[in-house]
Amino acid sequence: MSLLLTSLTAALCAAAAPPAPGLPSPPVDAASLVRDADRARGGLAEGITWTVEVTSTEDGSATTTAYLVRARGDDALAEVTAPAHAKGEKLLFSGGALWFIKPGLKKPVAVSTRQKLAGPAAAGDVASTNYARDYAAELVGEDDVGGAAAWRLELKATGPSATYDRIRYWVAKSGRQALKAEFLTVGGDVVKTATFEYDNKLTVAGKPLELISRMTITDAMGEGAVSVVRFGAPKAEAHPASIFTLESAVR
Amino acid sequence: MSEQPFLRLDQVHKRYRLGETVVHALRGVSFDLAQGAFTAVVGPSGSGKSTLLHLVGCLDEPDEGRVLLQGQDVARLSDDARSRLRNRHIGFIFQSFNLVPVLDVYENVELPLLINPDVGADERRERVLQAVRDVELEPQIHQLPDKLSGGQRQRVAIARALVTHPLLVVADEPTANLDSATTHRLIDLLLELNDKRRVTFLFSTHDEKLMGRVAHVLHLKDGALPS
Amino acid sequence: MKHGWRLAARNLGRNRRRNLATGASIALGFCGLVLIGGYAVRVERFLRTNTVYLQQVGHLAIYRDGGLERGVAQPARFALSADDQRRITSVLGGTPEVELVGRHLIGMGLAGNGCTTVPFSALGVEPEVQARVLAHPEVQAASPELARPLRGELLARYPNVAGAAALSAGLAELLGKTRIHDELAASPPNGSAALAPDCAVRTGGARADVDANVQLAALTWAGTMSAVDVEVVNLFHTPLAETEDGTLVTSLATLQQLYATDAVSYLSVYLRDARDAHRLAAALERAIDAAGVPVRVYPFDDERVGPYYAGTMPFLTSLVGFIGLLVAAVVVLSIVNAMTLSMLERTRELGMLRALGFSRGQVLGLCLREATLLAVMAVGVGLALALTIATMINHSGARFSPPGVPGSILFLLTPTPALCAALATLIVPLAAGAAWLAVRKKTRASVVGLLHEQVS
Repeated sequence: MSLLLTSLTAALCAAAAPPAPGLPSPPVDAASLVRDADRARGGLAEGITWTVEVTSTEDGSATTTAYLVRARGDDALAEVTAPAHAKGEKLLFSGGALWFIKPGLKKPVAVSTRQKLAGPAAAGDVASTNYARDYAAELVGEDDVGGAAAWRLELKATGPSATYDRIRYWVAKSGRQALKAEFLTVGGDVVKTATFEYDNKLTVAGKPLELISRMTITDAMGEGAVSVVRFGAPKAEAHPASIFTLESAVR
Repeated sequence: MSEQPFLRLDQVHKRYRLGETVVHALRGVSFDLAQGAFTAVVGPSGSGKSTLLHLVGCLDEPDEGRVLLQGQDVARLSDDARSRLRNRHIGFIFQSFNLVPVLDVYENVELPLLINPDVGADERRERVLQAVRDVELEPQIHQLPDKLSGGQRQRVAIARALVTHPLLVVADEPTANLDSATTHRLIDLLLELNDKRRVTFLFSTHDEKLMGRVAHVLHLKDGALPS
Repeated sequence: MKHGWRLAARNLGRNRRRNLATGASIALGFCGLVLIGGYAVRVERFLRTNTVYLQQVGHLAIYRDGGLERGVAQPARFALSADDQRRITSVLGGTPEVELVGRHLIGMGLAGNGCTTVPFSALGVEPEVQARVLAHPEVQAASPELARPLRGELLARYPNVAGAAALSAGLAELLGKTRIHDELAASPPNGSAALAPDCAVRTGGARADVDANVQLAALTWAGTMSAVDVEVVNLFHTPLAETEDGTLVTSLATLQQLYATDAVSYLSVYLRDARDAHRLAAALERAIDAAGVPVRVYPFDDERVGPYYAGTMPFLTSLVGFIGLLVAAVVVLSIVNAMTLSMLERTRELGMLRALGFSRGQVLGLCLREATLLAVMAVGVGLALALTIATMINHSGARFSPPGVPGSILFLLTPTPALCAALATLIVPLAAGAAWLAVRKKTRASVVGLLHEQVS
């Protein structure tokens, strides 16, 4: 289940305002690589609205949940549009915390970043895919990922909100988009892997941007559950800060 | 001798260790006793009197030779069979009385009958009372030994030896701890019982005064009976 | 030798001081054994009651095969479906040893108060069954104080409160739910509860206690986010300190709604007699398998379902056994000492008895009778002493905290008749055996040797 949330988060989390994507100046700056990669994964300071569909296959059965996501900077609000019984449920990322809001429920439920959610899934899986903020990056090499030349980065957690101690991260030299990630435990075991595709196009502040269209997460442990996250219909939209407050979300 | 004597000792030798040295206590002792005999064994200390009485009383076995009681070699009996033989047929009187201090006169006398299943409760009571009467201790019958004089205690021991109606009574220095008046009364009592009951008595003493009163005396010297 | 006992009794009368001292050491030793045994019986009963009734494991817990190990990770695959439950219940219905059956759902998630959340581990129960289990005579006898909620009443008393739930006191404190349903109904707080409390005020308790509702969030077995409201109707201490900060008990129906299922994790089976547990576990497993549900049936002392019971009992047994051995050693040594001295003093008397015709066996029997008689009398005194002390302690109201248990229970010593009888049948032969050790050599000596041994 953590997969679902991780993938969802990848879509929902917006990066802190990255610097203008200028030309890479040699030697390559690892931190700016991560910031650019975060942006291509949907971390837009300007605001975005799109649909996100998460399909998880686990134990031989597949479930799909569709969301309408509005995001801006660090904040995001995702509202379930399907299936019908879950319609109206919301997930609000605000100020580094995740809230689950359900119609009829007396109060929203806070999912703090360091708490276990269920089984092995930590809430941090959800809130800390903003790598530029949570990790210190170091360029450690170059690899070929599916025919594309990529920088290999080692990300080490810098703060308590980081989900993993280490991430192995491959960012394409051309386009500076994340191609692949491996999430590692303290001992260096791979917990899960993710691959990314970028077929969405959006013009942001007059500039064209290739945006993430699909993220595939595979559980490296256990029985190999897979989650596929599809991103669609991106629209640049400047959202007022007020929609990301709890008061407004529970209404 | 064609007829079987009541008791026969035949070339009996007995040695025992005393620290580092081996003491040859009896050196080829042989004699016969007829049933109903009243016999004293005399001799100086260390002459082997006690050893002889132990063998005659079936408390011990000879190293060589035979002790025959009514023709039976006692060395061939098992320990339990010898215990039974002592209980049914042999009475003992010790120099130091050896009464059980927590039992009264009646109970001390009763003691050997308690392990004889052939004697029922009524008969046992009858015999104990008779034995106590015989030694004239009826008034003290429920007293504990430490309330009795030396002579009274030895009479309890005699009653205990006779209560089983033994064929043989063995007494090791029975008068050693008694004054002379008591000694004579005790010998009178033994003689009377010997006469009345036809009990065979064999007792050791080194009291020369007693010898005049005994018909049959065995003089033991250095473990032998000089002829 | 039917008069042997009388002789033995008379012999005990000599050297009274020594026999009194020996008897006293046996009596005190026996008293100590009875008391520590009574403590062990009490603790075992407490542990068993805790596992079987308070934790609602039952004497037997029935899981789908693999469910105990993997039910939490893959609940959908390893739970017992409604159809499974029907089949199992019908097998149990034909088993006369079964007194009661409960259905349970186990799950985890996050409990929130609108501001903060705390991870919980929940047990879903059928409130009516739970009420019957906690009112069971065994529970009332062993740990009535732990069966009662600290505050509030059992779930079954709130049929009209939606999502009535019981929280461990530690969890309630973490969530700031210091006032429960009844207390809030009795004195409603000023002002209405905010829909979304001002979480900037981090003194959560002050804000959270304006109502008694808690939100439970979890992932359904199908993998979607889910949440339900529950109402805190009582607070309780968990039997283990480790679970005190995150345990929650609510109705099976409420948890089934949270996890969107009609399955249960396990069935708890309560037997009329705990001693049937092992025999029935195997028999029921076969019968239910034959009915088409592959299950495993675990008795309560299996460490996988009753880790506390299974883990503590060997420790308790070895501790009590060790102390018991020490006491037994003291008894043996004091008897050996007393009998050895007694035999030394009575060497010539033993020789006299042998001369009078007592066999070796009869002399030995006499000595053993003495020791046995002394032990029997001492055991009587020790028993009286132990029962007096136990009664005093039981009426003193002293309390103690068993290791790992929050709160305390009454310190009771329950020396059962069976225990006392078992200990007596242990200590008396032990005394006789010790006497045998001491006098065996003496009775083997020659009669002449005994008669002429110099006694100092």
